[in-house]
Amino acid sequence: MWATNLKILGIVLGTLALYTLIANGIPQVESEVPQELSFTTEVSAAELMAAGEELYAGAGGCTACHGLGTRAPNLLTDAGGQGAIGARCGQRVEGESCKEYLYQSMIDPGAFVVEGFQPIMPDIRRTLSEVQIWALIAYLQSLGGEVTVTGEDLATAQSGAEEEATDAGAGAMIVATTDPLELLREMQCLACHMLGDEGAQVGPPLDGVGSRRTADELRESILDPNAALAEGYEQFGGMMPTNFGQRLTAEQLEVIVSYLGSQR
Amino acid sequence: MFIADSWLSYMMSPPEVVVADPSPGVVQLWSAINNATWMPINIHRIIANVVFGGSVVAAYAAYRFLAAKTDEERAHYDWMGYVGNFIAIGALIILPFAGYYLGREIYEFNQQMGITMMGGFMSWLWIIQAFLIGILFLTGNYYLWVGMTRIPGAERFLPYTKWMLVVLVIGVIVWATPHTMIANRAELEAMGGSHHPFLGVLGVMSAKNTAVNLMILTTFLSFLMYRRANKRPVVSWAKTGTIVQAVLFALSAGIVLFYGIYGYFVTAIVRIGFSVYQVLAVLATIIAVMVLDVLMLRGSESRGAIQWGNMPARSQYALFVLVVTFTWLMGLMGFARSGIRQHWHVWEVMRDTSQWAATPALGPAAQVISACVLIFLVLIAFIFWLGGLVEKPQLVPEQPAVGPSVPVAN
Repeated sequence: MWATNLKILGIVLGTLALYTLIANGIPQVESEVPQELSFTTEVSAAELMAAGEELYAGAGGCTACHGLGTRAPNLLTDAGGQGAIGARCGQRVEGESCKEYLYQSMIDPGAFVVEGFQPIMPDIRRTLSEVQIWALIAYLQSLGGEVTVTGEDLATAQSGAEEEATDAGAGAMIVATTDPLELLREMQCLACHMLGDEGAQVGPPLDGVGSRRTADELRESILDPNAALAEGYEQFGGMMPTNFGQRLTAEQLEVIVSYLGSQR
Repeated sequence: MFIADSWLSYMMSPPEVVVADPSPGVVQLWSAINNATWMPINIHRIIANVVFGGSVVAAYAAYRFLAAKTDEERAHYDWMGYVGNFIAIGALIILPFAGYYLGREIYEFNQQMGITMMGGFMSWLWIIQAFLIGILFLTGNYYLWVGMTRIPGAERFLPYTKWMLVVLVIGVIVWATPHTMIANRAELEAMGGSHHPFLGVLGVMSAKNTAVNLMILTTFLSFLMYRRANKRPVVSWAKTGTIVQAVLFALSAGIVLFYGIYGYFVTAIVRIGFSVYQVLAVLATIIAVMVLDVLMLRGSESRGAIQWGNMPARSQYALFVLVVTFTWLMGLMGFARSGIRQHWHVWEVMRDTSQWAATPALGPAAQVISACVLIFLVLIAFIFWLGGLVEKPQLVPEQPAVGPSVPVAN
């Protein structure tokens, strides 16, 4: 029986070894984490291009679609005799330089979709920072074109990001009150909703809203106003801001929900 | 399993049901559990566990067959191995449909995640998967063909098996042909384009779908021959029925080939739709042929009983290859499912910022998978060994040979 046991062991280990060897024998592609870049305004084009190439081939995830040419245009190869992306980017959209076009393509990919392809690209800011985006642009420009990205672009991007963060920080705690009526005024709710004698008649009135909506429904209407539009107000869908989740604290939200729930 | 699936699927597809922010603590509990990929993963895993279970039972039976001391014991474990393998292969045929359902939900939840899975850094994983499934097809068919040697009357089918082997081997080669792989600039220049000049032709889905469907048809034919080997139909329409079955097979193979070739002359979006016709043709044939076969073999005469236990040892070793391959494949697909989150703990909600956040390439992942498979099989062997202890005669209380009977408490 020992001979049989050894044969079984050999088959099991041999099969495992075969699969492991094959998996190690094919090209090894790792999914890297996008490393944050810290460049000064003195950064050289070569440094940007090198960082951009690394992002393009790795953590940026660009090659998943652009590396093939079937889901999205192959940026490394010629297209219609216009050359690689660095050579053709300046001719894509009239009035947009190569740099402007590439930046626009990354933050608003649906703005211009190359003929024959679907608008499947996500806003790249979901995964990459502004500095990383500019490094990518520098690399793409280098593919057949002139690199015009400079340290100034990075400085502008960084200051813009900081301003945004400051705004977001301020917005998150725009008011500190927990008085429901004051909150409704501060949040501009009464700019569209009537409550008593106050407000405007754009959205549904808040008078009696507690008898029409449960607490859960009120909470949903505040946080995700387009999820269920009130009957007769469908045409106003999309008007109400969707960022109250960021602007209100949990306590403030519950105070408003409780207050509106009592309006019967 | 469903509970465990809830948090792992939440990490892949955190829902945006009530608010735009899918962070933990904001999403309601049931919404978090019942996220986009929860039920597809539950279904996929239930079926996969049947495959798993069947192949483990078959491997256990194979071991007992090889260790058997009597013909009766050998016959029992031969039968058990066949049944276990039948369950595993039967469930395996359904598994891809559950896989498609899961894949579709992943794409619908987040297209970028779907693309990363199929064409991003994981694109080579599908070549390994094709190779493993090729091994499963070849080994599964081999087991059936060897099994036919113990069935009286099966010898009339054996000459066909070499041609079926040719179809299977060509199918595996085509299916495992790389096509949409990530390439760097140097590789693109070496290939002269985004695809290899020769492999690019074989690697497209038209060729791959055709190969897979013909492999499924071939495997079904193996099963049909095995089933009919020792039976002689007595119904009056037996000859006509067999001809109809052959026509259905030919028709199905013709449809598969037609759409496979036609796919080269249409756009990608049209070509993708052709795979539905190919799969439907194969499924319809399997169902129709099976129904005909059941009706045709009612009250059939026997050409002789299956000689259970009269199997060469090599067929049993094939069952070990199957259990290792099934388990390894499960590990590989688990890596694919989990790895597509890349460096996100919770997709686009919470990043993993640690130094270990990179998702490994296939090589290191394969080493971990192999280690896991080995540990799993050792644990299974240990459980079976424990179970086997109760069969040992020394554990059974011996009855006194003479003297008064000993009362036994129930």
